[in-house]
Amino acid sequence: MGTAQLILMQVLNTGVIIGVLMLVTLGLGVIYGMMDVLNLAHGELLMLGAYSVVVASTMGLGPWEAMIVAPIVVGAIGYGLERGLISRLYRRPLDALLATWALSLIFTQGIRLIFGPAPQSVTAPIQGAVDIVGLPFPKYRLFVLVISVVLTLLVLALFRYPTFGVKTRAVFQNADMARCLGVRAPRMYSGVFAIGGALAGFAGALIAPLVTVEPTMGAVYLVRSFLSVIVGGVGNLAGVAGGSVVIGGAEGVIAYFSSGVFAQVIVLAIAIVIVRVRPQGIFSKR
Amino acid sequence: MKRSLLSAGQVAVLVVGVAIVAFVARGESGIQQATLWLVLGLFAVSVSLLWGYAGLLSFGQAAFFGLGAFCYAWATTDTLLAEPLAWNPALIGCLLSILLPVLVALAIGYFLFYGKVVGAYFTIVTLALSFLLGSLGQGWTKVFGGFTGIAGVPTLSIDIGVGTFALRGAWSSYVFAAVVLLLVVALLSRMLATPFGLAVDGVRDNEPRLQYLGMSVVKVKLATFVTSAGIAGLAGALFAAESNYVASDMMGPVLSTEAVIWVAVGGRRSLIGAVLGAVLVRAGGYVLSGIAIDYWMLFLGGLLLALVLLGSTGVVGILQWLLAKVSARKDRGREAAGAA
Repeated sequence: MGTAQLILMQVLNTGVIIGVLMLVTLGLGVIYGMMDVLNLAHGELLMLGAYSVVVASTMGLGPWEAMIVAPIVVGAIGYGLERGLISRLYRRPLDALLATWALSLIFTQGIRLIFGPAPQSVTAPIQGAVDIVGLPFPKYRLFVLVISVVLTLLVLALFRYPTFGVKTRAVFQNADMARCLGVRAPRMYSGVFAIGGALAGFAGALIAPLVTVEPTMGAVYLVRSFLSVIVGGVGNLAGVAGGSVVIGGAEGVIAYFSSGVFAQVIVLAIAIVIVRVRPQGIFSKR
Repeated sequence: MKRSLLSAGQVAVLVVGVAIVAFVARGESGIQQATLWLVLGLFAVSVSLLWGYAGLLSFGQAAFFGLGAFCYAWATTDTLLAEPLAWNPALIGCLLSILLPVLVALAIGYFLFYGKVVGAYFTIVTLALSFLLGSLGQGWTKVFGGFTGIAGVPTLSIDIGVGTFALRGAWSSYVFAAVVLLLVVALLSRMLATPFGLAVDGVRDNEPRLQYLGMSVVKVKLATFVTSAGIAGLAGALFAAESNYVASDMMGPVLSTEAVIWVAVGGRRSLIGAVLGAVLVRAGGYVLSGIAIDYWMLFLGGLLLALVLLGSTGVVGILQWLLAKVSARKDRGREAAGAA
């Protein structure tokens, strides 16, 4: 087993992390960019996605069906949250932040009460491995990598080309002006929350077979995707996706030489320094 | 001056009340628990200073609390050093527990505040800090004791030259914690009544106006952040000395955010409210711990959500509102009497 092969494996595995991170971060970034609400329950939406897969498979659905059910369920939850709760708090950003934190406590504790603290196991819908330059690589990981990159590109296109996307970006840049021009911003808000929720839910369903599914699994993704948003800047969505690549990639590279937690600490330090040097994010043009 | 004496007096009343209730309910062990609540109340004061007064909501204040606790443990046990410090380990531990968090806060605050990190961003970066310190502590067994933490941390005992000042028994610990809490609250209230304190209020209410007046908003924020980190660190050291145990989750996000809940429950714009919130929430958890601790956490989440949605100012806010009502009624009664 040569060094080059080992490095390729590491790159592929890091790619899987980055792909899933991009899905989570896109939802978080677009919600923050449009509504100025940092959704601290975003990690829990991912967790709910993973648990939807668990529930769907105990109800007798196949793994592929379960993977489709998860984003629908979590998207609906996101829509409901915006309508019932977050929409009341747009004028009080810190209170909105606290409310989403309260939600994340409630979700984590609620799931723990229902399913118990023990990890749940989920089987991957694809078994087996493919040969990549002589080394076996799990087929499912390759699937996750490809699907998350494709989905990220689709989401970026969704916010770029159709009328919906143009309106979204208009609200993103100047909500008051967009409303003057007849864009129904409040309606867009719940739509965007639903999309963000669905993306997080789908990410949760994707990684469910790869990690331990437990009530607190969302926290680490929350922190990672916030760092990505900070590094990428909230100015544009492509920057947010780029931030995920930087954060996920840096973590993968540093973790290769030391431990995973140490890598996260270094990445946090880098993010704090970046905030000082380029507060607008490294991918913003300003 | 009057305002500062008032808050210290309020805290004194609270401290005596807590002692009576705890002793009547559980005897000596109740007092031991109540000592920890007071120490956590001191920690809550640091959150209230930052959030309620300067408007900076930190979700990572436990990072400083936990660092303070570890400083005390490092000085007094053989975890980091070959053996505990030879001269006055507890005293040096307490001083370090203020110094290290202050330095860390200075470094982080410099980058964040000069980088114009405000509002929710500040909250997130502090959350990430606490989260990562917590997981770093779990992984780094040599320094932070890993999953098991550091046990056998000695109770406070300081060599003062002519003899040893040591805490023996539940009551002396309680009184000591109460005195430290009172001192910090009195000093802070005094500080908040000075022009600097008014500037802190200004940072929360109207930053641009403060800039027009030629004040450095960043410096005010940094000073507040550093002060509150020092207080949190001291609280951590006292907690370590009192519970004889330090673990990495004392730096973690769960405690950080619980502290925010205490302050939200008690009332974010008053130091006494922070102490009251910590005591109420912790005492509630203690009473329910045998029965339904899972439901308690769920309840706390629901409570926080309700407080936020109602825009509540906590227990202290409700009390003030009631007092205002009562005095208004009195005034009306007096007016009616005068008219007659």
